[in-house]
Amino acid sequence: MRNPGRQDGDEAELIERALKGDSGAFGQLVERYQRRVVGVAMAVVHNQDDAIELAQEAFIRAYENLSKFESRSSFSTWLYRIAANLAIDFLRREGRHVVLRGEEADTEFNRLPSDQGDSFKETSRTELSARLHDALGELTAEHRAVILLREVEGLSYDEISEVLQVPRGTVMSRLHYARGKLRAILKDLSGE
Amino acid sequence: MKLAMAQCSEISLLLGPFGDGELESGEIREVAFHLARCESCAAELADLTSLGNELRLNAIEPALDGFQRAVMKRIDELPEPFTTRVSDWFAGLSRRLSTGFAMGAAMAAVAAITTIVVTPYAERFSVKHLAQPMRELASVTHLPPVSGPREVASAIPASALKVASNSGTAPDVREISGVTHLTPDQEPVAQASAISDEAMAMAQNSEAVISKLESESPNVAVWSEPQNDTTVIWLPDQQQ
Repeated sequence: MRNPGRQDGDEAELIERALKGDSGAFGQLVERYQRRVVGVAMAVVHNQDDAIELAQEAFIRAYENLSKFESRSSFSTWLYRIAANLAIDFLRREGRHVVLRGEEADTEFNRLPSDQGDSFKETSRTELSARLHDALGELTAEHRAVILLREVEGLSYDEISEVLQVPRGTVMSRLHYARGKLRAILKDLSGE
Repeated sequence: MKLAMAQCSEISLLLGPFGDGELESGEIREVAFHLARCESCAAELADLTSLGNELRLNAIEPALDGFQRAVMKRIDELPEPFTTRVSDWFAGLSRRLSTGFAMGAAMAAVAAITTIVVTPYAERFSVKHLAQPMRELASVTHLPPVSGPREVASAIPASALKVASNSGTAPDVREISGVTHLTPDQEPVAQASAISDEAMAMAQNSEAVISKLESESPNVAVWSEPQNDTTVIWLPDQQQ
């Protein structure tokens, strides 16, 4: 995982060429980041078709606003933020509850189940996969986004903070809550 | 016991960041020290680690066939931004103005070269071959050119001829060239149109005029030299 603000020379060259109208260079950037941009969108909307559509839109927005990209942050983080914003806006249009700034998350420590135990014992892989999918569906979009960006996409806390535009402390609290909630849901499912 | 529980609740908040490698070195030491003594917190950390592993193992791999192509197709179909259209228009205008300016400059250069270099040669050519001889003939001598060779030199003393051929002693001798093309036995050329009708009439009567001039001024000799297109008027030096 690269740190924000760092950009390898090859990427900088591709961006420079794309800015000069070389669509092939931008095509290489699309190929390089397509999977993770879709992953970010999926982390928020939890639906593959919507995520792919949103990721395409994210690349279009990135292409149209490439001249506004400032190399203080990494290109990938900038790209993920566009995708996350689009996904959050999508959920808003769909009328789903989204806490953008995360102010509520700090209170969520107190709502965690106290006795969680080991959620993964005596569970087959197929069952576990289905349970995980269901459990993620029960999380709110902001909690699901944080835990998937961390665990699946491998983003650092600072990157998640930048992508979702919330403070680092909010990232930590959301992550703590999401992990506890998932463990509790999986335990309940295994106990049924 | 209460102290141990308090410590566990504090440590519990740090277990996730500990597993993620997001703690400061002091916090890492504190958590590690606690984990070495607390089986419950160690089990919770193991559970969190398993959760992360399972999430990664069960992550849905998105179907990205044709994704890049679809994005690039949509980019190709994007309307050109307004700012780009405006800048392109100005660039085109600038190109047109540059081209026009370049053409204007080229035309001005051609005109200048024509004026400075070509015109003097053209004037010299026209003076030598066209209107100037006739104008000179008409205004200075009022004599038309002769229509054919005429032997008048025999009446002139040899000494006078000798002097006439010597420009250094300068009897008033004028050589007028470019006349023979007006002679009756030759085709009129295009430049003749520039010659006045009066001059043409005079040219046709040139023989009569020469005869008249010779009769009135015995000391004047006029003859034609068709071999070099010249009509010669010889006037004796007034001092003689």
